Amino acid sequence: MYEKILQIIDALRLDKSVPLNPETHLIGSDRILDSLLLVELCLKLEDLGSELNFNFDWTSTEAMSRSASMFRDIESLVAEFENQLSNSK
Amino acid sequence: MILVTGASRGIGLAISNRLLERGEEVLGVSRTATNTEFETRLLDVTDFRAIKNLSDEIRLSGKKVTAVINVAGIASMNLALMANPLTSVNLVHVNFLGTVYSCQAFAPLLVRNGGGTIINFSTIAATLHLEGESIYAATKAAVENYSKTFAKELSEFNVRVNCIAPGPIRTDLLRGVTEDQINRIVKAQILAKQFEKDDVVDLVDLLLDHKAKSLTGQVFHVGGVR
Repeated sequence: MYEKILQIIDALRLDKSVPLNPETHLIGSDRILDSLLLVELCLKLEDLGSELNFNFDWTSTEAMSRSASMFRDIESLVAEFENQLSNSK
Repeated sequence: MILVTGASRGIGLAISNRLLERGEEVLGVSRTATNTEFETRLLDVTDFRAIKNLSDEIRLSGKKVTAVINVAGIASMNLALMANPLTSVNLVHVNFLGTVYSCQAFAPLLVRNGGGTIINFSTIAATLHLEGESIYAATKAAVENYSKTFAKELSEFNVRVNCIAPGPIRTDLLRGVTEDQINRIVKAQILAKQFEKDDVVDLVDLLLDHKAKSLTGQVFHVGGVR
């Protein structure tokens, strides 16, 4: 799932000069996606969830928190996506 | 398709019927079943999961949503010191959180569609700070504030968000409001006459029209407010 989500993020980001890794931040001052692209990422993940027969829920109690958000980095987003996929079965 | 919450009666029903007359496909959302000429889903706007499930269902159906009109609301007239806590909770849940949940769940459908219009409903009471309407007016003031911020967040997605703040329109929400109180509110309007549901529906028509493409993040007072 990591590779799949990485592909989606890579396709969305405008600046492709820096390589992506699990610690790449999706929110905060050094984020690679602006708020517009972050919403588009959510819609793409929603579509991916539908392909996998579950509804990806991107709402979070602390969506924009650097410490607790699923969007804090790629690793945490993949973990949350996989967790929701697992719980849907 | 246009989504209308609170579509079973009052202003919501009038809006839905006008849209239907115009040939629009309407999906009404309401808590109570009534005999309407458009499809209606029975659900409570305070139930985020139910709203989100409906949004998912629409997304998976491939239907295009062009507008969301959040009319669902309740009113309760109490002096602030005498307000029942449960009534206060209900007012916040239905009027404010119901609007928030609907916006949050349905706005992505507009984003997917390349843009659209959201119309939320406030009240003249939010501006006039009317005695006996503190909590009701506060929930609607919250709707206005939320709508202005939401308009900014959605601007990049070509989604416009506005509020309509009617004065005393003859609907069930006016129960318990005396003629004297209505007259005092009407006098606070710039156009000091009591407007009708059709006048509010006309404003909805205006905001849905492509000619309103420059209008977002605004509160429109029916009749103006002094």
